[in-house]
Amino acid sequence: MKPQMIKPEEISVGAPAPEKPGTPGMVFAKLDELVRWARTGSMWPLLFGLACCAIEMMAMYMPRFDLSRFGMEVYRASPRQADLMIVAGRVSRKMAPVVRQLFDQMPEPKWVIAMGDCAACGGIYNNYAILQGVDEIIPVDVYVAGCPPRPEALIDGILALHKRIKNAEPLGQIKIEGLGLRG
Amino acid sequence: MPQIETVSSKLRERFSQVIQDVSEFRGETTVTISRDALLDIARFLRDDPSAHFQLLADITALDWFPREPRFDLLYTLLSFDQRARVRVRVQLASADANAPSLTGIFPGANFYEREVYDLYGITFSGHPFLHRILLPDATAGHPLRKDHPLGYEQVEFTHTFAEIQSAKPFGVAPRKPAQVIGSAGGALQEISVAAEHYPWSSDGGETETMLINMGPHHPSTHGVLRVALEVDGEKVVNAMPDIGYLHTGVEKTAEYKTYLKALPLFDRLDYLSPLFNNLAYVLAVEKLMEVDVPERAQIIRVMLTEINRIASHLIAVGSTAMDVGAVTVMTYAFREREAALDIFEMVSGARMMTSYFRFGGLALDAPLGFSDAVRAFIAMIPPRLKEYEDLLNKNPIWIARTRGVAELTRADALAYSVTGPLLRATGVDWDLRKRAPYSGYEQYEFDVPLGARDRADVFDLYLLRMEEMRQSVRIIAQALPKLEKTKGQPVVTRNRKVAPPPKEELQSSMESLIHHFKLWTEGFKPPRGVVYAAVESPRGELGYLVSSNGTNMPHRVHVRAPSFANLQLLPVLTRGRYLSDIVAIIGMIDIVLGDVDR
Repeated sequence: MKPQMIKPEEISVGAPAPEKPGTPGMVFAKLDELVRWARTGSMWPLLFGLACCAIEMMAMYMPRFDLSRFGMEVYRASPRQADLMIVAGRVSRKMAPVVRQLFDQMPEPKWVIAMGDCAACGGIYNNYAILQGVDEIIPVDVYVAGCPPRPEALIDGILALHKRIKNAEPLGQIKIEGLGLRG
Repeated sequence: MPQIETVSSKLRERFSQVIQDVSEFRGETTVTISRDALLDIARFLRDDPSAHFQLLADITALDWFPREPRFDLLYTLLSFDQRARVRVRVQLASADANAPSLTGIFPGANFYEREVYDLYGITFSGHPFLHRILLPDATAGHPLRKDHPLGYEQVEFTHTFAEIQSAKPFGVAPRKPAQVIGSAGGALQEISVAAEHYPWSSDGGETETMLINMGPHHPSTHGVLRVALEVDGEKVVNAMPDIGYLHTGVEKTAEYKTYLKALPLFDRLDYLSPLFNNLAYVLAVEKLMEVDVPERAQIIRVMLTEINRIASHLIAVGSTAMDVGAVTVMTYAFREREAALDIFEMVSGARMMTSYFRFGGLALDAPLGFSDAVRAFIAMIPPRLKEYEDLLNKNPIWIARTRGVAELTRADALAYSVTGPLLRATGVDWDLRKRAPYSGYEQYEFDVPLGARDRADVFDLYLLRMEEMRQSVRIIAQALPKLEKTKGQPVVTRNRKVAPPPKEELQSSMESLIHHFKLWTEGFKPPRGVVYAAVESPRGELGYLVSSNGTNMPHRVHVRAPSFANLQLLPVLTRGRYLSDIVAIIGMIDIVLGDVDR
């Protein structure tokens, strides 16, 4: 969805419409785009690995795949400074409350990528110990398939998330549930 | 092994009343004893000069439900002098599933007994801290018991959607706003750091100590390890590892799959050395089925596992360096590791989880260009190792953070069932590749680097791992001409019990087609029995205990994980040290949480 231009006759709050038609609308639309562009260009992922996928996630920000091309090489170990959580690996029932707490501690707006089959749906481990998809406890924006996904696949997932953010709902709407693919 | 016989005859002599049975299966000795004599026999086996089983390698259990006595408790002891293992079996009835704890004789029994308690519900009298270790405290039941369900979740369809959703462990969360779910009283409770969960070493001392929670989300714990720390100022009084945050239930899932289909599960345990997991499991099943492995397959196995050892040690050295501040080394290590992953991708199509080894050989022959890629790899590694040494060996910060940090003594290493580089750093010459060669390691010439003293610090471990990588390069270099010599030879056994018929036969022979179909759908049925096969993984002795009940699915697969045993050193090594040393010590032990938690 492209940012919508607000027509001057629709502005009814406060003072009467300005003399120059179109100016306020233009400003709002540009800011919207600007903020989204800034968000996608400086996303700070949470330094948070669970299992095998975490090794591929580390490989992704190492020289060969070089995530800093997308302005994301700053991994933050504290959830309070991060806005992207990459759930890299299988989530056990013992770990689930921890994952949820980390997610709750991240400031809005925040996004989640479920990296790998285990985080997406439990993968090959369908048993008493593993959560069948991290979306049971936190809202997921992008799922990346693979066991583990190649670093290129994860980069592709991140770019897909960027695209979604650029086309997301207008600013000002508080995002609680994420963009969730499942219902 | 003649010496084992003298030990067992001596045992029979001294403990004739309590020894119920001595059996031999695939060259492994199992001594069945009555429960009351366990402590005496363990002490005898450890201390008697003719036995000298110094290391308690493993404790696990088998559940033979509905047979009575229901449980087999298996203790594996290892003797360096005799180069032999002995398995001691204690049978327990389901009504009285209790055994005396071995922690008084082998302190390393601590974690193992907790694991058996957690997964089987067998209690150990005299254990200092018998609590669940892998599963959350609130879990109902003991999952590895045969009457405990797998916990399998059905595929969602519209007509089963509501039913499956309502059975989810944490309810249907994402549709609710975050604040509601995070609050107390919901399905998700915050993990407890209550002091009563942990045995504190000091109470009522001179100064007040503080409880600090480290992990499971921490950049330097190498995964989801949680350490509950009791500190006195900057000094660590006690460190209590809390594990199980990556418990995957692999051992239970494997019981529901055929032998071949269980193979990919094990790649993902120790995810820094997946090929070693493949190899150990494959060796165990080959032992059970008495399968021969062609020479070419063995050569490729050796080459790939040694490349994997280099890749794994690179991460061990690199991440330790990064945790104490030398980030460059980690960046370099990943650059070299990519070259190793390229070779794995070349042979199997996957970068990390290859599942390339099969029973009786390999999935397929190495592709064209494999030797050239390996040659380039081993030419590249030694100069790169030199680069690391230039960065680290005289780096004052690295030296200050590692030299003299963590005094690991030989006595501690033996007491806590430690194997691998940690044990060798204290001067114990025990490398399975030399002492119990598998896959033709006896044909290669290489040295086993050992610590010069009987105690080791973080810096010693760094030097040892660097040297092991050089030796791996040596082994690979010797394997290359062998690979050329065996060109065109088969890479999988002719034993049709485990290996499928070749493709060209399927088009002409109906019997082969049926056989192929049966092998992939049903699998094969090994004879009844328990076998154990171990390899020298980068972290120590990685062993697979496979128990067969004669069906096409394993009755039990137990992984003797080196990281699990080695992690017991953490409280020993950190006690009295500074808080900031903990990350260096975790790097020294080189744990992989997938291996610890399974």
